[in-house]
Amino acid sequence: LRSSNRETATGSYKMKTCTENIILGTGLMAFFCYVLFVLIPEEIFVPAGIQFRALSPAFFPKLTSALLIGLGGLLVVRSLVERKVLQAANPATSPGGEADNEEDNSLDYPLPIKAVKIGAAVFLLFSYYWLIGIFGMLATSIFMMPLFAFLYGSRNWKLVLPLSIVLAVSLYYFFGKVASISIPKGSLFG
Amino acid sequence: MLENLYLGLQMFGHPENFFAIFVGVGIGIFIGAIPGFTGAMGVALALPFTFYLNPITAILFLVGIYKGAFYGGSITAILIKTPGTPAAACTVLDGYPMAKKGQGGKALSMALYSSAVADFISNMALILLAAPIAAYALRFGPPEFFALITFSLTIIAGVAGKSLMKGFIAGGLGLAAATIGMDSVYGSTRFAFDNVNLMGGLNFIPVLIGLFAIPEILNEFGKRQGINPPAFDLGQQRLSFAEFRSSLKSIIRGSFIGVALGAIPGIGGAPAAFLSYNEARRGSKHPESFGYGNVEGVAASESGNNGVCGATLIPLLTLGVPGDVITAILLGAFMIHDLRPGPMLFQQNIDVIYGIFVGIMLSSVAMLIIGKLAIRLFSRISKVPVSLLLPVVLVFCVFGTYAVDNKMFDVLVMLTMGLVGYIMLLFRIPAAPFLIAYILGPMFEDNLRRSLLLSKGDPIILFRSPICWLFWAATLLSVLAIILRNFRGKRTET
Repeated sequence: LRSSNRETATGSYKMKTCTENIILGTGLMAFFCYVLFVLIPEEIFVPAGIQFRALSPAFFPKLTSALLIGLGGLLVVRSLVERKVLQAANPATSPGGEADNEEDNSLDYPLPIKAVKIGAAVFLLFSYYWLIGIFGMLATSIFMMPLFAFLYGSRNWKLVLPLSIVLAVSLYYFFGKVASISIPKGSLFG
Repeated sequence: MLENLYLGLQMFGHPENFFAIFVGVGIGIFIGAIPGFTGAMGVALALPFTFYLNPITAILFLVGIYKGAFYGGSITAILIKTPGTPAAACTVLDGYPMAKKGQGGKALSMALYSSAVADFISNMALILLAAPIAAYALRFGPPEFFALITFSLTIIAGVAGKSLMKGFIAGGLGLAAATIGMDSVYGSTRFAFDNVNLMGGLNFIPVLIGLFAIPEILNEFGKRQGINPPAFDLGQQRLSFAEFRSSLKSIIRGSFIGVALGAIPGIGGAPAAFLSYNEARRGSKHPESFGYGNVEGVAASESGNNGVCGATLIPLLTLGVPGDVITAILLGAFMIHDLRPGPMLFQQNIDVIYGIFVGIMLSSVAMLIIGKLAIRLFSRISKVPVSLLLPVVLVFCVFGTYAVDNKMFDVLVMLTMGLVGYIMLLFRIPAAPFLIAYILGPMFEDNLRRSLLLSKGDPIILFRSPICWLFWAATLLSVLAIILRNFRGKRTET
């Protein structure tokens, strides 16, 4: 019974991978069709009088777009066939079934928490970029490093706070003074 | 050659070069010993710090990190059963059982000595083979380079990971990203969207840092921190000279296997380590003890994976073709210092090349000294919490990326590429083929178009010489091998 359960779980994992691949392949095809038929004609200027197609500035982008459309299509077809074979071999597996992941994800948070944490991290990353424009790179880095450490679960402030100051000041000194680079000071201090 | 070596010695003989190689190896071992951190990430993060150094110092610093990371990967492989780098995966087989038996120190010492010997042999191969290959490569024109780069693109299969198809998709995405910017023949802008920052294309370093560091930073947010695997200490047993001598045959054989596989683009350290391990087991009087803590197993796998290090620089320096991800990053580092790897480098900058060679020879000694002195310190690195390391890495990424061109736009590119890299990670698309295709893409396109310009559009020029035929045959063989391997893999699965 245990072996049968394991087989069903592995089947669910493969099924989940197939679904992921179908989404990926469809996404790739859609995006690169847009690139091939809309972006390339609009965003690449092709000079008049080019004798050979392969010499055109648009040739290589067209080639790579076609390649990716082909690969996306191939991935979709292969995943559809695999899904059909899996379903035929084990009708208990369904795309929505509980998947026993073959990778070691034992340390992962449950999906909703994971999504929120990663979403917050992405927001913070782009906020880092945006805040540099206001507060400058040094101040923003001193502020952001402990914030990221907090999000990772670190509460060792006695270590994190001095480390963030020492690191940001050292990097500021190295790039600003030794390498003579103008480090952004931000609209507030600039 | 001796004259060139003398020139190289003169170029190398500055204290900062000694310092660069020792510090580089130390940082490399540190990075390699942190699970989840790779040598590629280390070299990528260190790259912006080298812009202000002279070319020899900069390249030696990066090469030091590369080599150090290869050895560093064995530390966590032995003590916590988590290879710091993919190439160290084979070291786990005998290293970890040794650590469990209280022989962690002995296993680490063997890993260190075999790594240093293999590294030395690999460096010698580089020095002896590079100049003749570069001299031969002077005969290459655009069609020959096009055929060579086509062959090199097949290395994507070697770094594709579990799914070949996804490796090709990653490669295709890399080729597509490489088309952004100015067209090299007509000067037309491509996908610039009237943005001045995009007209020159995406800078290589933000793309690199974005792909290799940011996804790891994001991915760790989804994991519970503070749960570390059990780590064994070094134990009291030390490696005796007799034990080292009895493994010497395996070490030398492993080194040559590493050299042979490392010189072929795309093979990498892991297959070399496993092949060397397998040969050592086959030749051993006690093959049954392999996998249960045989010190010769550690020697064989470490010599195999470190034997690759110097040899991967052969195609890079002589033909301008990177053999793996780290050499792809090193190619970028050379270009930043106005040095273009390839046969002409041996004509125009022979003193720099031999200066680097002399420094590279020293890297084996540096690895031995640093590894020996700091083995206890490095064995504790795996206990450093990720919650502290990754925010530090992020700040490094932001400062380093900005320093490339003093543009905040590059920081935005780095973050965006990081997000793309994370999405690729979610869909299990490997990042390495993306980067290799991103580097080789412009060369591929440029040589194809230059060839067709020469022949007035006749594609037959791509087969004009025996060299072209040689590379086309190699490409065909490589593709056949990929198909066969994939087919066998599928059969094993079923």
